[in-house]
Amino acid sequence: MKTFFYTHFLKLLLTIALISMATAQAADVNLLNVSYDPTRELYQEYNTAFAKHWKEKSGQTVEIQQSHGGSGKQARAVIDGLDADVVTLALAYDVDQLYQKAKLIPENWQTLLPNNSAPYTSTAVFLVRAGNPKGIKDWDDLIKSGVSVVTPNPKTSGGARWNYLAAYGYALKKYGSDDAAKDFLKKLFKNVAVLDTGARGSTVSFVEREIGDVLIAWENEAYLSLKEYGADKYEVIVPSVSILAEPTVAVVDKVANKHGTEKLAKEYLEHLYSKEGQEIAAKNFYRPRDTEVLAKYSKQFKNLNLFTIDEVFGGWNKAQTTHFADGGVFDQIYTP
Amino acid sequence: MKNHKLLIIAATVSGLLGVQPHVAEAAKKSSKDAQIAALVRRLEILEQRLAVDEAKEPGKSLSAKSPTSKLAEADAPAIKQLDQKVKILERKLELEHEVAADTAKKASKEDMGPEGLRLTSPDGDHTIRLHAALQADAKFFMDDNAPTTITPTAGSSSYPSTLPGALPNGINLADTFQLKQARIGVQGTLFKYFDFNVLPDWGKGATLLQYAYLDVRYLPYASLSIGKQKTPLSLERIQGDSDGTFLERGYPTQLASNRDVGVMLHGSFAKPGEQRITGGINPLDSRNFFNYQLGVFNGSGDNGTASNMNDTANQDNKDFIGRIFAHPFQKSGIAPLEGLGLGVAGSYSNLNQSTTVLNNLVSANGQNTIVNYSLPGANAAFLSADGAHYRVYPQLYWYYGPFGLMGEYALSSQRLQATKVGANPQTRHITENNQAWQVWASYVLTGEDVTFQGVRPRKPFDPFNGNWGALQFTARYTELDIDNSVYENQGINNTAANRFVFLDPSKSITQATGWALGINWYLNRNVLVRSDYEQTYFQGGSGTATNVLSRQMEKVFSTRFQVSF
Repeated sequence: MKTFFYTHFLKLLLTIALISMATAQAADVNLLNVSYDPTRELYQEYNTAFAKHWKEKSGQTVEIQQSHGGSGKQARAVIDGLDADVVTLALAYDVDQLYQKAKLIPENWQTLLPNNSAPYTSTAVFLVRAGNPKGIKDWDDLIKSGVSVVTPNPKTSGGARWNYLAAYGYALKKYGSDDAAKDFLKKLFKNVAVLDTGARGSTVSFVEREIGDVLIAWENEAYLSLKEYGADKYEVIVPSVSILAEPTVAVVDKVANKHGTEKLAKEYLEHLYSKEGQEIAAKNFYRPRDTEVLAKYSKQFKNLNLFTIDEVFGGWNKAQTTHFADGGVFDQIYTP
Repeated sequence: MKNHKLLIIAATVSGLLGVQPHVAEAAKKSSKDAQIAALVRRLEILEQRLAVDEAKEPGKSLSAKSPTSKLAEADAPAIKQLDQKVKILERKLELEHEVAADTAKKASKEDMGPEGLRLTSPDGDHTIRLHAALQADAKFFMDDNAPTTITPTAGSSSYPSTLPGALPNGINLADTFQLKQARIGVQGTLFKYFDFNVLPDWGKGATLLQYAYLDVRYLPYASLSIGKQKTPLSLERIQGDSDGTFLERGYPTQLASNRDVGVMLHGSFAKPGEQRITGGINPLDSRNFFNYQLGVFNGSGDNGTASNMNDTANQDNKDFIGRIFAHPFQKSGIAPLEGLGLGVAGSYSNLNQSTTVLNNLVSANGQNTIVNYSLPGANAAFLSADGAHYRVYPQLYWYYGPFGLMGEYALSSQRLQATKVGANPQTRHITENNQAWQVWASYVLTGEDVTFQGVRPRKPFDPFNGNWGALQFTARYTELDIDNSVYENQGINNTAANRFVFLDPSKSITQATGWALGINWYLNRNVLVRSDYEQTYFQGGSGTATNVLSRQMEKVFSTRFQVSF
């Protein structure tokens, strides 16, 4: 009788232990990554890889949630209370708002990770229709009469600001003065058929609504369009000069501290710089920082002259104030 | 045939886009939506016509190019251009709609209507409402130049042989115009769960902060209101002054405290399986199946309200007040009883020689002092509330369609202390048990429903279109009984002379009984004209200390013009 009792008791204990372990494995820890629209596919792949990496490293099961939207809007959501452990946004300016407006991150956040906290880069390229009927090769072609351009509104879209600054930087380099650059931008925006509010919206205008001859797009977004809508329908044209877009990332310290996820969040972002993270970025058409990985994917990323926002515009804050604030250059050159 | 079709489409679109000046002019006047819709519609019609033509002439081949098709080929780039224009217009329209929808989502909602100006945040979590109330009253006392009722002196069977020369507040009562309320307030909700209400009042020639409270409403069954607010005692007091039935409340209300500073836990419960009734900012909201309030207040005494100067307590002892109220037949399907509400309220405090809680009582409609705790001259004594004070308030209302009824009973039991002033001071204690009750009924002649929140006219006043608003007829009976023990005659220095150390029977009544008839004209949800006539009979309260008479009957016609939102 005693043996029977002990046997069943032990079975019961074992069952409870197994259930407890299974429950614990379901999600030891959660992490929320608040990002912008075009990174959806990148982080879907990266999250799976990182969860495996974290499990091996710490034994913990991590469940990573993603949130995507316009970069500026996402920053505001975090400021307004969205509990992001990490942010991976389109612009350093948007990330910096977390410090400026809510002190959620330290002032020196950009120095806490390599490459100004930008683990991958991108640039503005052109997506044209198959056969490139308008013969578009460089920025100058976009201001020609009869060329219909699609780009989002720099007032509402982070991606659009990169596009705008890329064009401005090109004109500044080529024509040598701000006035000439403004004139160039004026002509360019005169050719813009539709100003969507975001990068995804512009892709919809160009690809699904069949509007325009050329879409100014993030490089990764352009290649994704080829992948998704058919490489036979569109072509990616890389201009001679463009901007080095540096999407930045940061741990939202105040939230991570509250959640007890500081180490995990830090590792999540640091792992983006690893070979594995860089490979995933490259596969998703973001230019990796790692030179070896970049070399491996060199066929995918064509060579062009890239300038940084710091070099030409003196940083995001200055660019924002000069070009995109109310009454700024964009308001001067563009009349709806 | 395809080129032929394209040519016709191109010609039509070209015409619509600008070739025909009168069409362009019309398009300018119409909205972009209309332009695009018209273009698309025309294209569809043309496509359909072409399809019909093709069906009629199936043998026609494009191989033999007609002059028309050649022309169409030549115009192909133009057609593409037009096609782009249409697409761009459509996309712009789509974006405009998106932006408009997004803007609408983000925009604060402004609402100006019968409830005043309300601003609501896009997510609905924050609201601010600006509201106001104005009451302009007139009171006309009738037959007030001589006593009309003379009753025997208390404890005596003889009538006075002559009329007294001066009856306190009994003769020549001044007819008055009065601005009773002039309130502009702000109430609202912050972060979904935090209600607030601030309501200053400049009526009656004084400035008084009527409300100033915060209500933390996170749990509907356990919310907490903090600050100056109405105490949960008298049913008629709880009803908003603007929503009430008469110009002035009945006597039970006078035995309750009015507004006081304190903390109150309150909540409400729906009938099991039913939805809670929500909306509005009012800690005393009792519209649900079961409601309760439980509060601790400084204690402002019967008919007392915390004044601006006395918003702080002058002693440790507090007023504990509780109330439960239920609608036992709510959502029962028994229509006549759905609007029946029953409840009971009570309070307890133990005061220590408090003078601030002894407030005079007034006649219901006339608002003249009929119970006076100030004892001047020879009867002067130090009078205070000293000891236990409790109140009991059973209460009910019943609303059924245009018919309304309210009944309330009040018992206020207060231990009083009087210390004679002057030589040989003596201290006396008594327990004063005052009682009051009332019952009133109303009927909306124009058929609108009446509720505890008042009457909403179905159609606002607009006589040229045959709309007169709503008309309500009202009747009330109310009574106040003051405990006889307060008229204890102590004599002067133990002599036969009269000395009343609690209340002077020649200045305070022992009983007041009033009946009133009234008519309320609701011009719309915000504007109201009330008229009441009330007769009140008194016992005591007049004559002299040695020859107490009954105060003369008070006949008063009063009227009010009210704007509230």
